[in-house]
Amino acid sequence: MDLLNGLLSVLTLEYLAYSFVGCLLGTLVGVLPGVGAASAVAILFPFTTFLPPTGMIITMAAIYYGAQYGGSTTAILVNVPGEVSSMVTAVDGYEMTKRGKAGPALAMAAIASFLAGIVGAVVVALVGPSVARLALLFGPAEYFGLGLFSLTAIAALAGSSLFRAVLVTLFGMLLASVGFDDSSGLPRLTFGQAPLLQGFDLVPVMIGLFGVGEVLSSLQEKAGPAITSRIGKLMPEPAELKAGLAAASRATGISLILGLLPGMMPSIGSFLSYSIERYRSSEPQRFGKGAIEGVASAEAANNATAMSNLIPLLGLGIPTGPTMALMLAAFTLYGIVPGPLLFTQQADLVWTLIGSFFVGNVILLILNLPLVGLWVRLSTIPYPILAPIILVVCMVGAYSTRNSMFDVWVCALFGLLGWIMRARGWPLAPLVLAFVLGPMIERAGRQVFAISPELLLHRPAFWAFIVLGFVVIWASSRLAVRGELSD
Amino acid sequence: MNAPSPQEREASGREAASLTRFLEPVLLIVLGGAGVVDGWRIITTKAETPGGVEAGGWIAALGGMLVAGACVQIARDILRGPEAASATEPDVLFKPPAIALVLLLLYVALITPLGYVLATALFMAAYLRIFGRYGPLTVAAIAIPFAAGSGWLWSALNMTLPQGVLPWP
Repeated sequence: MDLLNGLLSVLTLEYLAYSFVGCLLGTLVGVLPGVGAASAVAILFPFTTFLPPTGMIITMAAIYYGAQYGGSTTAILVNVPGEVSSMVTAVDGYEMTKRGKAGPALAMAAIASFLAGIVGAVVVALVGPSVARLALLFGPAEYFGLGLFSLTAIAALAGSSLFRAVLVTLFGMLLASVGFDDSSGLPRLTFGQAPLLQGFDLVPVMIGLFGVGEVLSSLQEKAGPAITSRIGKLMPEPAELKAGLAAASRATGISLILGLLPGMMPSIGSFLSYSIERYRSSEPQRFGKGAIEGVASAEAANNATAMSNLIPLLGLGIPTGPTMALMLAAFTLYGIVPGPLLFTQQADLVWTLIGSFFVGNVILLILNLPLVGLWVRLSTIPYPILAPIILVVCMVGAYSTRNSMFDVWVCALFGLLGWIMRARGWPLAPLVLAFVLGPMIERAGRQVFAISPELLLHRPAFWAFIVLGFVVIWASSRLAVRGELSD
Repeated sequence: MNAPSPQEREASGREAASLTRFLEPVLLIVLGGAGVVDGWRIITTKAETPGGVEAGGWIAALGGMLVAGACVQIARDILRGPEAASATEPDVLFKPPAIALVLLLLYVALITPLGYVLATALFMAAYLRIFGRYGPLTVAAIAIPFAAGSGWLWSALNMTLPQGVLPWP
């Protein structure tokens, strides 16, 4: 009933317009080379802040899945993945394009994304409230354990050295401590500098790390040849469609479960699902040479993980990746606190948002296939023209969050940091998650120790999270050995 | 700028990796050390403030773990040897992003005195000239309309950007 109300609510002209504009802008930015979904959301975030709360959150969500879709279009047609998860799509998608089957590859990507998006939205609607009810039983000890588990998981799944990821996590938590301490009111790590008293705002930090950092990193890479072939007929053959749908269904199922884990970003879901499809195929040699199952599994996994990532955010208030951290920032901007009470205190907003996922996926399906030609032309804009435009938009976005030049400097300096970290193989996601979760862990930990450290001994859920953390470390080390874990 | 050859990329990457392999751990030690020092300062001078010890203790603990971890990282890098380090580091070219970064920092520094429109036009022009090697007319045809158009757009979205010497938009 709640979901039906949400769907009806989102079918108003105003919310449809937000969803449409979000999908359009997200796809537009997502097709640009070197701009992934996290960067697209980070860059466009400040420009959505003048919208009403529900409108802003619907637009942000639409930008997110629009950007993911945009990345796959250019991956298939010109072998320029807009983001990491689209790299998997490019493997077989671009091979299909070279064989004159660009149309079926695009259609399969759209259908698989749509299928995963719709199933994902149903799962969010069904599981989200249950997770929220479970979280009502959580006290400081459980949140302390959950925070530690989240950081452990994201460090373990960062696709790089676990040790480096732990160092980055500690660095992120230290950065989050800059400014006034909420509990004591004492300034920390400011060293007498007045601008540091307010601390670092998440938005300029994210725009710098992902927007500016990605542009700078792109300057180190040689652009691939842009080959534009005829798209031809769109629909795959019945046998291809059947194989693709089966692969998409399997990838959706696996990724929806994996997406609940902190650190399990869409790119990891894509890599894992693709590997599983190749492993179980009777003709694994077809993968990498234009197998439609490769495109379907990567795209379905991508979208399913993205949808599943929303469950811990909405139900527990825990972001599972950088984009979810920005979604959390969007909520908190309006004083809305994601977590156990969100489904009761802000029920209208939550169900309208979930309803918008259904509508957004339909809009993307309708919007993208006819506009493929436009997206391809956009992706072939010379990078020397595109890069300064992106940088200027990043700087304006950083400025507009608090109308402060301090944030612009923060953005530029975090851009430098993002570039160096990428160039030197340091993972970015643990930094962002530690930056967001650090204050929560500190608060919960201080509450626990103020009551009594012995409290931890009597809270089994805390220990369950600690054990889960070790399980994730073990599982990630197994995956790393098999080479299936990547940034 | 001309695209570098694979040999140039490899040489540049190896050189940079061998020269700077301890850069990040040393920076982390400095940052962690700052956490320890500031945390200790708060613990010793603000102990009477409610929550003062915990506030200082938290950053001192984080800083201490960061320093210890970075020291272990240096030890691991030394044990691996410089050749292993440069072989495992991604080979990267630092010059183009470094130039872009300098342009960006200059742009940020000029926004307040010159204003958004002028600073943006100059930044765009410099970037297009250096990285795109476009002629002056092409540069002007892209940079000026973009700076003016975006300035107008932000203004229409009620964003108040520094105006500097040009009282527009």
